[in-house]
Amino acid sequence: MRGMLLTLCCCLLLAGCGNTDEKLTTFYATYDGEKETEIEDMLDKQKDIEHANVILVDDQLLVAMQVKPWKKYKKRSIEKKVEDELKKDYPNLQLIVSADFKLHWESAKLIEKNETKNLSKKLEDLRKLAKEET
Amino acid sequence: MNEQRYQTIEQQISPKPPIGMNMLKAFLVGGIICAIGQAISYFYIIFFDFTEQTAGNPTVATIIFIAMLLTGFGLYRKLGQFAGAGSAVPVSGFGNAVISASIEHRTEGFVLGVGSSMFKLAGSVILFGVVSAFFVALIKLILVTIGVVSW
Repeated sequence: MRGMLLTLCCCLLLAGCGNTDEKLTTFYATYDGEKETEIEDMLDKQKDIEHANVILVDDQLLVAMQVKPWKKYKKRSIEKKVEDELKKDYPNLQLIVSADFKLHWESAKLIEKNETKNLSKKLEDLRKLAKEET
Repeated sequence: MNEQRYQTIEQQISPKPPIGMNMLKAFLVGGIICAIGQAISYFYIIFFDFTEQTAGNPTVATIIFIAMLLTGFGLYRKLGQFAGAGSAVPVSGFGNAVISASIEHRTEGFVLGVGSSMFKLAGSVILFGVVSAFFVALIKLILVTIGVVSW
């Protein structure tokens, strides 16, 4: 029993150290160059974000973030800060900025599929989901 | 024998409860229940259209339902004996309180027995839950207004 507990503790500790993934995962339906680099640079500078999925389709931009564990209490203010910065630079884009795990999970699936078909509609569905409160 | 002398003898004779061990057991079992709750929450987020914000309601309902089933099968009693507060403090303790009161009073009939006694224990949980939720919301409102935390 004691040995099992010790092994479990070691596994959990080591699993916590194993995350060396990149901070951003991106998917662009149409690549412009300048705009995408600017968005990536802006998100890269955010210290509170652990990982973010970025999807840009036509005029829709989805930024689904996972904030650092100790910053989860300020999730809404981080969302607002990122959204405000993006809105200031790109007023014509329809933004979906969320730190919710569901949006991060769904956006990761969309990026993995690597398909542009119906992507705009799927982003619209995610926008509705992000606003859901009940 | 006077009262004071009785108390002194009683304190000398009665075995001391292993407080540290009990706390450790409660911490571990309570933590495991919460980890199961987190797993259920992720299940709802991943497989259904629930967000982190909305997954709380079905998660709480599921944990209460599981605790109710375990109480009915007589397994939650064993867990309670082992873990003490670790099994009573999480929301699963609420389900246990409802069903154990119902089982206790089932011989008195469905309406006057089960119906009226179901919330004998859990009623106070609901009352103090509502009152404390009000005060927590009030504190959060103040903290948000000051700018310490966000909604």
